[in-house]
Amino acid sequence: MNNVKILIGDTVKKELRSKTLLWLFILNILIIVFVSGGINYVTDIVAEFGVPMDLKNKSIHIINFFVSFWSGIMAIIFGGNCVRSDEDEGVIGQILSLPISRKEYLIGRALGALIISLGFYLVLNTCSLLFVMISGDDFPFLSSFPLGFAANFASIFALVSLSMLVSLFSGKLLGFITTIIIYSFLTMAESIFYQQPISEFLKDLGLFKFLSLLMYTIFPHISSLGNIASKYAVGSNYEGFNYLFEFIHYGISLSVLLFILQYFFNKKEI
Amino acid sequence: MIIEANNLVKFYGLNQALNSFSLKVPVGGVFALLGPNGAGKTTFIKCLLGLIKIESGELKVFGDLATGDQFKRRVSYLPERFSFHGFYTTVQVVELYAQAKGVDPNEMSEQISEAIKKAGLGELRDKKMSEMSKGQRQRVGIACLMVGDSDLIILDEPFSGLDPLGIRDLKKLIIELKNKGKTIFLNSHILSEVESLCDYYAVINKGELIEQGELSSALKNGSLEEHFYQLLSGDSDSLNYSEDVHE
Repeated sequence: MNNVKILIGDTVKKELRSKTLLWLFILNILIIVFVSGGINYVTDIVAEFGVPMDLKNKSIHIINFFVSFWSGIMAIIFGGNCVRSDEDEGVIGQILSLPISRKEYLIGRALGALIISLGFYLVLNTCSLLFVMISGDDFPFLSSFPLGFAANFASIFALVSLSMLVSLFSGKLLGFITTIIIYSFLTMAESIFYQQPISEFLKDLGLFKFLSLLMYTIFPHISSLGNIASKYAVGSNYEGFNYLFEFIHYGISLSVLLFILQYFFNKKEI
Repeated sequence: MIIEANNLVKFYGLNQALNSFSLKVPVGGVFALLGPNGAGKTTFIKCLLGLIKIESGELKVFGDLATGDQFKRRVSYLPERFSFHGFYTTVQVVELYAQAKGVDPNEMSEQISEAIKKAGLGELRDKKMSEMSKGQRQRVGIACLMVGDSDLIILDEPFSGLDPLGIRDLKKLIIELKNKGKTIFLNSHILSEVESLCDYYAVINKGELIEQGELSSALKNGSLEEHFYQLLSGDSDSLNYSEDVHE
């Protein structure tokens, strides 16, 4: 347990020392400012032309979508980087020659990447709330935010694990692109199946639907969890979501993903 | 015996790196594993540390099978090319090693400072790894060796990349550790340096143990270098020092 704590701390320090966190933070703030400013600009234009659109009330939703989207991207970057950078620098063998087991190393690095990604999510959320407040809207913090945070935690953890798994087999850039592609496929598969009753899953089963169903079955529903997170964060309901099924599915699929990750990492020759 | 290897077999794809390799390393003193490039020296160390897995055979450290990770608390390892993330400073690298080796937090700061000083890095304490030369980085690795209280020190080609001063300091450190009752296990190509240090030796070639014994017996017929060449003279190919990816 002590080794896990050491590695969690080292993962966070590693990203801080490399200045990656700082640059990404600046980039994210710029994006939020840009999106927030863009919304205000469009709102003013729409109001000027007298178009009956309630964009002002939608700004928090749009910003939240960006926060959720960027948190996902951050999770992919930090998840992919946490083991890969050690391997690229030839550090991994030295760390594993210490009294640290492969399991402890993997858990420490994964939790470190998770903490950084969640930290980003919280900071981005806080910033987005501030921007919305500055632009004159009501304070949008809601009691459902912790539920949104929990959903985002689940989504980010699954993304970090997926990204770590991909990074075992590829370089940083290729790993990032591959994870983004898998993530996109998953989002597509989830949009097809999430509101369908299970009895409908096998109807009109072509190759594309079969592959989508396969991904929907074996991977955690990362995209849906991210959507729930952004809806909760602004107090909206997320309809058509079978919570019991999703909870069980998430538990099983994440366990399988973590098992596969550990299996391949254990087999890795360093 | 502090290390006991019996019939180790290891393949990299179709290449056999260890071929029924057996070795016995006694407690205390300096043990040198000698052999040409690609002989299997580094592979053996990696097997010992669990970085790669053996196909068959038995490997014991401190009398127990080297399967878990707890025995590593009593082991320090210096790779041939010590490296770390470029944005870490000397003190940050040594601190991570000290934490992982379970150094008492009350003694941590003192141990780190002492190790850095002994490795000759006093002025480079806060220098980043990316700003250091190869030799200076190797000295950071030497500082990492000195934190904690290891009984077995494993050095993979410890003299490569060091300048004459670095070699002198490392030899001094090895002797100091030996006098403290530690066991030092090293691989080296620089036979003259090994000869002045080691008590025991073993020669490995093409993954097989050729000979093992006390240094004094090898020196009966001349220098260690001559003995080494005599041993491998029947196999001139192996003396070409051909590069091997795994070494």
